[in-house]
Amino acid sequence: MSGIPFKSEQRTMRALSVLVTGLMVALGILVLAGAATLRHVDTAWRHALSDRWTVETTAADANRAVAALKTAPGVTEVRIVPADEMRHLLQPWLHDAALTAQLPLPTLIDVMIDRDRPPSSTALAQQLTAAVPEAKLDDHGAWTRDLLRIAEAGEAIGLAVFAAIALTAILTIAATARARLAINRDEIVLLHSLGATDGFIAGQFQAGAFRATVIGVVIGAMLAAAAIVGVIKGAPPVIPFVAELRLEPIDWAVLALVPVGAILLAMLVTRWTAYGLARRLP
Amino acid sequence: MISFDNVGFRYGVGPEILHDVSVSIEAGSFHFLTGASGAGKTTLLNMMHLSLRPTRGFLSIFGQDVGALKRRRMPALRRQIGMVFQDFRLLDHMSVFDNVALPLRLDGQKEREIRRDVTSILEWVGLGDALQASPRALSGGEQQRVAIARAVVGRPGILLADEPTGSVDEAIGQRILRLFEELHRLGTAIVIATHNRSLIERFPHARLELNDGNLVRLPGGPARSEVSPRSEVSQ
Repeated sequence: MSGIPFKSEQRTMRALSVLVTGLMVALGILVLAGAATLRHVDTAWRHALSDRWTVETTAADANRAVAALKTAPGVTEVRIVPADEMRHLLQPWLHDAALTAQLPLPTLIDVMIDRDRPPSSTALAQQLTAAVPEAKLDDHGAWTRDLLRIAEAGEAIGLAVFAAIALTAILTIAATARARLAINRDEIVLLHSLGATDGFIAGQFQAGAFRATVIGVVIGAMLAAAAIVGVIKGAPPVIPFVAELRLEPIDWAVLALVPVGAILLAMLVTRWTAYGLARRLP
Repeated sequence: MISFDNVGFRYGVGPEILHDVSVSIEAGSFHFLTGASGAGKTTLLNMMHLSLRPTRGFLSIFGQDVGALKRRRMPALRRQIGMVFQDFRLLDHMSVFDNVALPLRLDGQKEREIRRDVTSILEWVGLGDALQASPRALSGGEQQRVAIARAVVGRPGILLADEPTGSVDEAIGQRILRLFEELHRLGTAIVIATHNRSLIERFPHARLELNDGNLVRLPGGPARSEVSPRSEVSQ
């Protein structure tokens, strides 16, 4: 059946649809990308910290502490962290090379833990203090748990915001379809009187919305992709605490589903809304 | 073709505006539906056109009980009924050609056939040179002829017209009535709601008059007007 243009398929209405769809898609992709990134950060922190504990001691006691740790079960490697390396780690936080060089530093020992058979931190601490009473073992549990909780909360908030954007998109599309039907009420009544089915009228509205939706989705997806690539490339200096922002191929695949889903959702909501309203008209 | 049997109608919970209407419109008949403004002519036409359903009584259109008719069956039935609206209801954002082509496109006909039929019907109403014109560029009489062309292009079994001469002068009105007569000669049943008495006198077909919601038959009816016995009495 040939298309029958309705009045509302004019420039202003179409531009509004393109703008709203583009914004929704861009926001949806960015929020989802943010949630995926937080999940990777969360995983990276878990891996990095779960098999790496730290002992703080004095330079005089360092060798005794290393000897005690090497004999402990579940410990795979023990290494005294060189002072230069510690200063290098502190540099991004203090931003002052001279101050960092003068700073009195404790001696830190990296303790690599067997991930498959990790020791009890309490037992290892007891074994360590038996040899070096002043030494302190830090399994990073206290602050790691807080950081991971923040990362998990961020990821959950990201998904919730994505769901809210999807819901807002559905309501906006439905409202736009309602507005278009209201504008074209007389035409719909006329088409009914000429023998048009409700499905045909809904199909006409769906077809009218398709082009604007696709244009909006493509623009939104391109903007979001450019923003993500820009953030990933600029991440290390921007966010020094996070070593690497990245998205895996599976993340890109999921993000690519957002535009496709947005088009399908817009078509379904438009058709469903138009069909429901057309049925109420004589 | 269309049969009313003790049909009553009211809008919502308002007073009944049509009472015990009983009439049969037979194939090939020609009726004027007359009555004062607000007598219920448009309401009766809308019931014939399936835009309204009776609140009581029995209405049958092309053998289908309208009271029990499912919504999905209405479009096909409506395509057998041509309707000329008082206000034309042409779509200004479409050309004359596309306005007239609407019923055929809704019926899923091929574009080649649509072009042939629409061109032919617009030539018949004297608008063969206005195919691509906007309805806004036409006079009231020309718009009315476009509306008639749209109503008959699908070759409906019955043509309903609501005050088709209401917004045109006497000469154009007569020309429009002659178009209806030609259609009638081709076998289309015609029902025209009008309060234009001079036109009715020039074209003396059967008259159905609505008075305070009651339908009565008045004398008229020359040779081609075939009012069934049931339409002779109402109330």
